[in-house]
Amino acid sequence: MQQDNSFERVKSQVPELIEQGRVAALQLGVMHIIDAFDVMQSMQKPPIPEAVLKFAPKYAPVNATPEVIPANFQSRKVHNLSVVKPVSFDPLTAAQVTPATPNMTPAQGYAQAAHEAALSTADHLRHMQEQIGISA
Amino acid sequence: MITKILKNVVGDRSKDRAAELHRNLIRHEAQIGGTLFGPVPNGGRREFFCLDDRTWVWHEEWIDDAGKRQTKTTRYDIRPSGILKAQDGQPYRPVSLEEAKHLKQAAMLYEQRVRSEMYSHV
Repeated sequence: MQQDNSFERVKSQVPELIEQGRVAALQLGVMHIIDAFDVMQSMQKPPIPEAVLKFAPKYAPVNATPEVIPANFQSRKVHNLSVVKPVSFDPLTAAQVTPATPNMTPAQGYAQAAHEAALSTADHLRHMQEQIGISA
Repeated sequence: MITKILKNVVGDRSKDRAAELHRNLIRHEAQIGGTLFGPVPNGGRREFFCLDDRTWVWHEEWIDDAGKRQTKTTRYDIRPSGILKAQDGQPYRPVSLEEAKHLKQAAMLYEQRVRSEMYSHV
């Protein structure tokens, strides 16, 4: 690139408008760098204070987070099925009940559950009628 | 018709002249920018300039141990989320926070020097 050492000559040729545009570009250029640097700096994780580093290993790993499942964690297993209570049917939440058949839609699940509840009620009535000696 | 052609020719010349003046300004800025980082080794050349509001360029030429002329052009692309750089046609890669800090300082010094030496009357 051939250098133009005579700035006075260049300056005399330059309309003020071009210079103003250049100054504006410079100001923006510096502003954009400052903004980008601030963003980069804000994305840096703050260093862990030395006091915390010294203290933490005694009790928990420094990088432990609530999401980390402890190594000695064991899920609770149900060994006695008799303690498992049947889930009561609630029509209001029927749509959220997992369908018994995997391919069943919530609406179908609701319909099936409602049908089973109706059958159960009919059986109960029949049983009561038998108890008190009333025939249908 | 002739008036239209003349207008186009004059308009084109005016645009060419503006572009040439703009280039001359940047060349001079680049010379000033090259002095911000200390002395340049003998036979070398350094230029640092703001190409536009989102692009900064560092151009360095030097003579290596074998006496061969080497050049390296670094282009900094300033994006809202960070600063990327590309060297000699290589793909862009993000700069470290340290390098960004140095670039920021250089850009601020560049603006200060260029404004006082070239555009103080604007």
